[in-house]
Amino acid sequence: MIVAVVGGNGRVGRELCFLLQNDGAEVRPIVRTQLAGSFLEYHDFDCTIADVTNQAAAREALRGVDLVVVAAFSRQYSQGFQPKETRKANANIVRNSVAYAPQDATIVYFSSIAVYGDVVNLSKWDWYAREKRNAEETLVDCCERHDKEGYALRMGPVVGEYQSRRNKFRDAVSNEAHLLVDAEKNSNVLHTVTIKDAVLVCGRNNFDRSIYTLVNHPRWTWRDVFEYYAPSKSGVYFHGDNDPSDSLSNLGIQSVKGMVEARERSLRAFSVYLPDRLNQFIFHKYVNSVVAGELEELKTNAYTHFSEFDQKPAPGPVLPQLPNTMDTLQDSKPLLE
Amino acid sequence: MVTSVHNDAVLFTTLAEIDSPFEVGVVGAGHISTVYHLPLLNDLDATRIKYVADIDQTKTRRAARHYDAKSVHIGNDVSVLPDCDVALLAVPVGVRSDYVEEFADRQIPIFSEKPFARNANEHEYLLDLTENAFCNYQRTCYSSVRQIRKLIESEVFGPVKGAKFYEGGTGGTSGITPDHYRTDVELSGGNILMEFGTHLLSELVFVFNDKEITVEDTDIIWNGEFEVDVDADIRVQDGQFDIDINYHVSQIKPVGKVLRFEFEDADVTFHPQDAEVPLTIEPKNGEQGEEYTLQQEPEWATTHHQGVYLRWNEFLSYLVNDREPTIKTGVGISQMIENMFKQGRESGRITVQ
Repeated sequence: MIVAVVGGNGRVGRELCFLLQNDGAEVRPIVRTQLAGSFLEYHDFDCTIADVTNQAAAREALRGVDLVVVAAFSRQYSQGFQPKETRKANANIVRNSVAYAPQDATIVYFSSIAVYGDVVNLSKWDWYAREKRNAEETLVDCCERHDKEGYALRMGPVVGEYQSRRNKFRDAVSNEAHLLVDAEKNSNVLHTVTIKDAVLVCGRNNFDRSIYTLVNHPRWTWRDVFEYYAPSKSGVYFHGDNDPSDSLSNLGIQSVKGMVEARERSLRAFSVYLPDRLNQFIFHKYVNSVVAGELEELKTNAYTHFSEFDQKPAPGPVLPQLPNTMDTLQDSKPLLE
Repeated sequence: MVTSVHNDAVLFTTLAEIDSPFEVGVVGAGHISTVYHLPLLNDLDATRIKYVADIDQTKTRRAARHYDAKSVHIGNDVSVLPDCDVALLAVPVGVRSDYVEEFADRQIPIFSEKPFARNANEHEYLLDLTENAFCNYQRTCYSSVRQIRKLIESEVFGPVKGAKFYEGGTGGTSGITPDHYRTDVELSGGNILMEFGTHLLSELVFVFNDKEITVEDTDIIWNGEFEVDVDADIRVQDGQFDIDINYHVSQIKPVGKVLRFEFEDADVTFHPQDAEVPLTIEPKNGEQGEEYTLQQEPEWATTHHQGVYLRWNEFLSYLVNDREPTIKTGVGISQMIENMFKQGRESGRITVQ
């Protein structure tokens, strides 16, 4: 199977190139410039230099492939602050990837769970989410028009050998770790080996739907994630996110405390008019909340928290027929020998 | 916690000595100008943006409009550039000499993006035209870089025995379009050595101030005309001071981003690029995993923008007070790069069809 990876020099794209090749696919990374292909070419990949936003270049670059993976994504600052140009570029990447892929080829677009917005506890107004949503719509529309098979995979936070998130997670548990997340909470973490499996599954099948969620299969809890990265000897402790300080009564106390602190001097002047018992009550309440706050800060500083912990599990449907992520990981060899 | 002793004073007072702001002509309205220099120059009391010039009229108009400056379109004739008190050159190094010649002729001081020139010959030629030139080696103003120099000079952890200067990864180059200047070696002067290798060398030259620095051995992997991996051995000497440094920049090997200094009593590491990352100290005779963080010095930069600001500060202080910093245009850096290219053994070549 010949797989074209548009944006093969990207962080996920280049790892995918190795994984697909290790799995026996013939990989054709498509990159915009000679420099962009340096790393892959150094490792004996044959890069095609083409700017897929250009129709003629896309036609030539996608000739004869069985599967087109669109891993490329144009960012807002790559040519100064030009969101309109960026939107056009992202749409053209998808449009041309569909239009100029061979008729029998399958197109796979890398979208993101960010598209779900507040369903996963992310903002639906986020620029990235809106770009991905627009690209998905372009994909679906173009595939219908050209009568081609295409899938948008809404991917969770990616980990893998070349992903900085992997180093972040691994470093967090390299010694004893206190993680501010419920161990049994489902994560949206997605390993690159599962991305590779998903691409191949899409290439071999004809599914009814065109948009799927893609996370590890079966979904990993946060315990699964960190126990995968934790050396056997270190302790990993999970501290669930049922923080009592978020309860309504505590929030009430905190806001009163804030108001009192802001006006402490002037309010204290009035305490001479209050009964002693009330003054004592206020004093003890205040001292207790100050101490609790400082202890809470100390505990929070000692914990590790990542923004990924705040995500809610992405809804389905998930891509069917995926192999088990852990099995694939155990069978995988290192990307570079 | 180790307390560092600092002798340098940030020259904020210099700005108070100026009667009227320097009028700055900004040449080049690309990413570096719009994200770093223009907002900074706009914020400084000591500077006023007089004009923004570029070969791309759209870019020029957009930037100039926002800063209430004149928009100047540069065609083939650099003499159209209006006079100013100071010129910022944020154009590719391959075309920079035309502008240096023009402003030198008018005796206008120049603040240039790095590197100052493509090679040592060109660098020397341009310095013959003007001494009033600076290059934006802003990492020399990072707190971490200032601190490591003090640790070396003070020998708090004993004498330094060796060092590693590493910056790179496996990313290749992304985010540049086929018409970007970096795809043309005549404009860019090179690849990784010019893009971030010069910054790393500026840190080396700064911390080993006044010592003789020699490139002894270099291996280079090429992608066409572009260097994609440079592995060099560098020697630093001064009397009895004699240490070896390994310098490695790459976009095809996972070398990481770290400056590591091996002292007699401790190893000290920090990030070459990220000004926010403080120095980490690992005592030689400590327990396994024992390490300390050195508190950063608040008067030096802990962000990239602060580094650029302080570099401008050094430049303006030089113009007002003749106060010379360690590095002006970095002629030693250009010499080292030229030596690396000249003596570099080809240890690999990538051919992209």
